[in-house]
Amino acid sequence: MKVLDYYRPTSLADAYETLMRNPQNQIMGGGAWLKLSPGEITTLITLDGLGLEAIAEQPEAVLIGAKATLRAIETSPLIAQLQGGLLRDAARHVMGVSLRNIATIGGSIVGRFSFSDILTALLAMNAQLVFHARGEIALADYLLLHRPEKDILLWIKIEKDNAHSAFRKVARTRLDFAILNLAIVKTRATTTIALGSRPQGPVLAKRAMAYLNESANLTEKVFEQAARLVTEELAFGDNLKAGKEYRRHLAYVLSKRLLKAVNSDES
Amino acid sequence: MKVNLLINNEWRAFHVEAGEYLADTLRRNDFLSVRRGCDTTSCGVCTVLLDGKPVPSCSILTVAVDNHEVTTIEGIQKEADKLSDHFGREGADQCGFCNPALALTVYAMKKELKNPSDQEIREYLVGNLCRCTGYIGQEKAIRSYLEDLS
Repeated sequence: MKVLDYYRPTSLADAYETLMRNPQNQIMGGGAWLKLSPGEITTLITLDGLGLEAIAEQPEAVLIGAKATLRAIETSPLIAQLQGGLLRDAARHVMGVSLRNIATIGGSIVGRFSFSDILTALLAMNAQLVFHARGEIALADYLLLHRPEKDILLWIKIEKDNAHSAFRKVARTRLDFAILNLAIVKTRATTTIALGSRPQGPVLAKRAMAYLNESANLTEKVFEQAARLVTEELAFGDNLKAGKEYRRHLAYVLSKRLLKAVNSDES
Repeated sequence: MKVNLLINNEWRAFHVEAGEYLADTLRRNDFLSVRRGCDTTSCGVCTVLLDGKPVPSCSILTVAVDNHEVTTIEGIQKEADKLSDHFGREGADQCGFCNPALALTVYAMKKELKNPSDQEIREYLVGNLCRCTGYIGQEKAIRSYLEDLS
């Protein structure tokens, strides 16, 4: 990516006005993948100094600023307590500490990288996104938008459900992108299953979730059937990292294993 | 664009393009201990400390760190010498290409983690690749360096 100019706005209104002034202007996340992105940016706008690095507690939710780094998220006591520590577990699997010191949660979301471990975890946690102009939208709905209008992501809001959760990433090496990632959140009433890097982006396994949520007893047989539904309802594909059959097999094994974990005290 | 950086406790001013990366600015100004490796955040040899935290300088725009503190291996020379002694004793380095970045990361880890376990050390250093050693010697050297300090 070629960057022609860099701008440090004095306020969010200033940042938004600058963003909208030219179609080639963009907001900078952490910048970790900037070099690998194609094209040219007329003005790159930083959100540094606008208070979006914070991780704050509300009575019913935790608010994470779009500029919070993955390392800040990984080491935050608030995030460790949030829905069984799922987001912390996903963040700590993203490459090395130095990368996590610059990559931001906002960049992970707006970049909509299909391999993202963060997106899969946030989807399972039913995260809500707060944008400057659009206002609030569920991450699940945001990911369905083909080309979202330009906007500034401000906050990620996650409910403080009392939940068990589990996250797994399968990759060839510790520094590689996922062959498959999977996150499950289990509250008293519902189970949510998200899979990503299939290699398509993260999605919810809605049929498997409905089956689990309607089952009176959560037995090993129910977990097996739910895992089978995951592999039937979701599409898997090939890329250089793995083939679709391997991914489907992983999805079955990991779904079953993680369902057992969140329904015991192991998670 | 003009950028001011506190590099190794000395304020320096640089004129850079908006799209210039920190590793390039540093190397252009003779901080050659900052290596250029994969250039895409994967190998860790370009690691410097930004406000005390390890970061991949190949992927940070110089303009984005205006008025921040940058530390290269020259800024922690005494600690690097100590660590180097342990590396030598354990046969933990060969070509030395990754050593400056590794030493900076170990220095940051020492500040951030109290009494890290072997697993925590491995986790912290996962982004620093070494193609010579196989990591066992490095792990022993880092452990003995930390034990000497305690």
